[in-house]
Amino acid sequence: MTAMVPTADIDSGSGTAPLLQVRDLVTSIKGRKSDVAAVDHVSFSVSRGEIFGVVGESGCGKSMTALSILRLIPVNAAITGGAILFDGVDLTTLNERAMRSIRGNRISMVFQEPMTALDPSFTVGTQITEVIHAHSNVSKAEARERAAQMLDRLGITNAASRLDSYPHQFSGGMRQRVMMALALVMNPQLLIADEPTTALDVTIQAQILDLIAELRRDMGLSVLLITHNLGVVHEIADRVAVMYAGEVVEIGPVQQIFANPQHPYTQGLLRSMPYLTDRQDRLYVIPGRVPELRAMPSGCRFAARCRNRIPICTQRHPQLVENEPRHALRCFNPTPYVD
Amino acid sequence: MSTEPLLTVNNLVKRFPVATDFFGRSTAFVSAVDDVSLQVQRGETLALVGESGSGKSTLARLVLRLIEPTSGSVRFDGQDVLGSNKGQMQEFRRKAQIIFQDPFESLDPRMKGEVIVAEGMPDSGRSKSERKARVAELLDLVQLPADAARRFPHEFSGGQRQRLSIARALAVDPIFVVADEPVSALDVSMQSQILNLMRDLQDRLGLTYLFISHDMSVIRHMADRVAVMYLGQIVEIGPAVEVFSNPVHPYTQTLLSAVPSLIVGGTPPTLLDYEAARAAIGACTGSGSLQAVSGQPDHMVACFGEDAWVRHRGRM
Repeated sequence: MTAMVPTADIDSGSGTAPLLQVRDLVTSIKGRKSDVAAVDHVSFSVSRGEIFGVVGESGCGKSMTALSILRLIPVNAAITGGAILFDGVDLTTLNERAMRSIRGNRISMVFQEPMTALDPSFTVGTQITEVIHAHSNVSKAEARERAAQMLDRLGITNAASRLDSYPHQFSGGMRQRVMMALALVMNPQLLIADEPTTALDVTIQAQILDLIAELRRDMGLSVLLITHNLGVVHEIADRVAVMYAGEVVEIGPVQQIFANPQHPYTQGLLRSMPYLTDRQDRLYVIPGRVPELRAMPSGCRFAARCRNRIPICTQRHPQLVENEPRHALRCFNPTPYVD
Repeated sequence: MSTEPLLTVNNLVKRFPVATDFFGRSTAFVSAVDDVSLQVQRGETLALVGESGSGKSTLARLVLRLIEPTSGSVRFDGQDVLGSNKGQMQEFRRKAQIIFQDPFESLDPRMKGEVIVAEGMPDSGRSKSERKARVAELLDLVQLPADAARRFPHEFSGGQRQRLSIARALAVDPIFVVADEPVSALDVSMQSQILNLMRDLQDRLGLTYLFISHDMSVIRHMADRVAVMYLGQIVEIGPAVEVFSNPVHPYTQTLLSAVPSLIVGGTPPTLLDYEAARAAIGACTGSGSLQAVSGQPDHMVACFGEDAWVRHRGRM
């Protein structure tokens, strides 16, 4: 039983209107001869209080998707199609002034490298209160008080005195907490976290993931979690979209996708990871490499590397199709997962 | 082949000054590597695992004598590395190679593939065509296409660049390779290719690896033996299968349990409580000294007290 469905309909199934709906988003990069789509008709939604993961390898368009939502894409790129509905408002139609009142206020972002995202020459307190002053009319003392509360909330001890410290005086994990404080101090509805734990040690990573899960539980925060780490997604996300060459190739609840991945690319990613518990003889290797943006095949983009390839795969471009409730994939010839 | 370990490190210490007085004399030190002893057998992979600042990269650089230790000794292939003369050091530099995490930063962007690979080869005894043939052979060995010889580093993918840096390391016929986070900068699909390649090369060429990673799954796949480092010291060392299924030191247990769960199957590590962990290593001869785990003579764990337990595992 396969039915063609528009992908924007695949949401968390919570019944309420999603907080964020990305519909057929196209983000193009200007090329010398023609433009190329780094994000190609991507659709997904994030419900209130949901942690939604986007996984994929470098260059698959996952970070570009995140930056498109905040309209922070590089100058040589442009959103050329689709809509981004945030709480009912299409962000692609807003002017820069309106966007600025949303960024850092209702939608915030944390990046991979806290040291490059924080300004080394200002104290942490100055940087956090700057955000507060930008979005609300409060006194200096009040802003400082709120900044201290936020640091304290994120598990930084002696928060009030730490406000006068500079970023380099914090350890890597603490810096990521400061970044999160910066992102969360205005009590946003949506947090976009782009590889938030990639630069961190595994024990610190565990703490930050616990923190994100806790904020979702206590503040009802929605999280768009961008990562290449399947383990991280499995650990805290509710649903996940797997991206390949600018497209979503599989989307669905985390438990379903990890227990029963359907797309050959998702299967390949899972199969190629070493186990923690056993030593394998050889690791599975996905042959070949990602096609270049300017040389995208007209059929399935994964066909050249796929072991399930049949003739139609190179002739027609597969659509994202729901094959079980809330679980969709873009594949002409899926097969059950055998580890 | 002798039965002496290829590499023997004894009581190695490296202290870095962290404060100086008015006259520039060092007044405070941090011990990046603090009294480390270990052996690596011929043909095996010893993995060093630990978080940033644990001293694993410093230890690797000390072993290769890229930096000088404060005290201690390094014996490699029957040779005292720290007491070697210039000629002996040249021979050591040939036999012991290193590959780094980020192949983009460790490859000269203005050199073509063939120049990068051939750079370390001895000039004498080889004609130009012989060198070319050797480069082609090395590219083939690391499964790069022949035209890689004429391409620049930026024309390669991350995985291909790491292959190129492996070919460069192998150009001088080393017997020992230090790999410092060789797959950390790579995507999952590239990572499995490079790990397979490294295991193949080890089988074919009889290489000995000192493999550094912070990724426990990668370590599990590559290591015959594992040394867990924390604050410059080895807190647990032993056969990978024993350390991963029966970690004893509280830090190793925390490290293994912090890995995001993904793959089911196999036996997850048994987490011990304080009494059981202490019982496993018997009576300590002194704080911090390595003790054999009962019933596992090759599996050694540093003595730890209640304070260390609480620090790593939380409440007792």
